[in-house]
Amino acid sequence: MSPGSSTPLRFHATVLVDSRPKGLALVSELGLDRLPDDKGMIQVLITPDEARRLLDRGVQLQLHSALPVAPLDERLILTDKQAKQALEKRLKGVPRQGGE
Amino acid sequence: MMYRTVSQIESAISILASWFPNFFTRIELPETSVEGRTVSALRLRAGGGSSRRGVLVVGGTHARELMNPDAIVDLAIDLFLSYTNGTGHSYGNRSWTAEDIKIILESLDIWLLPCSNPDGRNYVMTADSLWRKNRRQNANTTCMGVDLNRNADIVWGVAQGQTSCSPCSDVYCGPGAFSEPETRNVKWLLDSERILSFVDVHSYSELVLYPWGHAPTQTTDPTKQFTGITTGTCTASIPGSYSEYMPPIDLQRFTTVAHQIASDIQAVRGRQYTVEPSIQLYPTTGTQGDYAYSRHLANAAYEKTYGFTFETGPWAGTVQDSFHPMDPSAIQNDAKAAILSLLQQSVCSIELIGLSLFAKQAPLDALRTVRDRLLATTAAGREWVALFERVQFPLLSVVLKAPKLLESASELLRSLTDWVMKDDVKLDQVDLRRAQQLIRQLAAGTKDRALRADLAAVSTHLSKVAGRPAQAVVAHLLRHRPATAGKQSTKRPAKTTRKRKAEPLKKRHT
Repeated sequence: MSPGSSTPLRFHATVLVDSRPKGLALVSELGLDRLPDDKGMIQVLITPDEARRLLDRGVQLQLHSALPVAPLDERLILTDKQAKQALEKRLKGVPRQGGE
Repeated sequence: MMYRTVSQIESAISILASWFPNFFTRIELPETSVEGRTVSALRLRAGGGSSRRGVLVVGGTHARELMNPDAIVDLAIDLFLSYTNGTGHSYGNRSWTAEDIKIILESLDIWLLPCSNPDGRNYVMTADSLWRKNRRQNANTTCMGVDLNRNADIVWGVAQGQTSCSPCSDVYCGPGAFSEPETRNVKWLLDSERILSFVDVHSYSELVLYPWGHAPTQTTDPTKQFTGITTGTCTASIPGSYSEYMPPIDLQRFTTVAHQIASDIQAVRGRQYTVEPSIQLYPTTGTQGDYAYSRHLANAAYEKTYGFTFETGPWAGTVQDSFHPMDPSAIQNDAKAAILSLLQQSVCSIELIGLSLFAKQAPLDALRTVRDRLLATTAAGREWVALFERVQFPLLSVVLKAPKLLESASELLRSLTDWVMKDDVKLDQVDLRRAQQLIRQLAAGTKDRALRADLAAVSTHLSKVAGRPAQAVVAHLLRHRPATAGKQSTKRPAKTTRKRKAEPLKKRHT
């Protein structure tokens, strides 16, 4: 999270380095959250402080997005009523062996 | 499609166990989460019998990977409905017949732990949608959380690649191996049950991973074993030249099973998952998949568990859409097909028939010894093991549908175990004729060309070993690959593994 900023953030970034092994070693040394990348790029999910530490070590960063630290979009979460209805719908008509 | 909350997952588990106790059992795990939440597993089984093989499926280890806990709950319901209604089940274009589901559920104990990290999932939904770890308040820092997939007792605390000893890191391994109640719950299930196969289901990358994560795998030098690596160093203390040993038969099993899983996923809707050892994704230590497999190597008292990790779903253009897409249903179908594939490959036909046939365990142990101590020692022998593992499930379906075939197979199994257990007993002409007849009947019962080719290979070799004692027959198998008899190589490329014709999805009676 960013000290002093009003909204805590993470950045999705690519670490740009001449030498991939050196970049990987740096990401490992700093204990960063490395995201899988099937093209072999070094993608990370980092706080502003982690971004600063990377920059201090002389690497360039390509920032793809700034992601506010925020709860999951509530439209993606089932309500209790929806969850119950979905389960009952799936099990409708199956004779129950046990209690209600 | 949306995501269940932690309480909704718990509720689904409780309801299933309450309404259908003959099929589902809820197991409250011994430890609550760091924040005091109950953690529940769900056992699925149908029919009777004990001493079953177990498969443990874990989801939600990383909090933000939301798709898999829901997929695991839905898979439980799918299997239940298929079994109850006597129908098959399809995910996309990959179908399992009613008989397949019946065999799986009547021969295995399936242990599902859909949400191993409930605090993390709750935090994702209420505070930080990209949170990964549990919610441990780490000592002497404001940084919260331990990465639960770095906390297991396998090369724990060796900080290399994507493992860190810093509490502020998202890949923090914790203050000690199994320091977290959430990982101790997984260990408890592995300790308590006979788990043959284990999978920790993660997202994303479309991968089927198998050990090792801490070093490349080699199959030639058994002295290079993780038990000799100093743990808890918090440095990258494994030399770059080090490779971890794995017996060739185990590597074969891992790759065979993983490629079949990838093939089954591909059949769903065409997604091509990559099969690779975990280190290919990035170096790690303390992961649950590696731990599950390592246990029997560290302590001979444990049975062997094949430990896998799935990474479901592709990169979707943004971080959020990759971890929790708006509509995860297609990826969840891939995940469910992957788990079902692992379940199917965890069934052992010999054990299934043998347990009802023999009062004692000794005959089955004798067969295992032939497999693990003899056939496993040469490439040709391992191909015979692979052939057997490839054909056993489809043949079991054929055998169980025909009582006469089952009787014939049982008689042969009895003769086979006698023959294996007594050095002086020769494979006589009666048994040979019976075996050849069974092979012909089995071949007649399937339209699968690859399966018939495998049976033909067995038939050809059988005729060559008539009248020989077991020792001589094993010696023959150790030298002669099945492919030398059949027209087709037994080594099939990953993506062309036998595909079943998709059956139309029968309407469920719900």
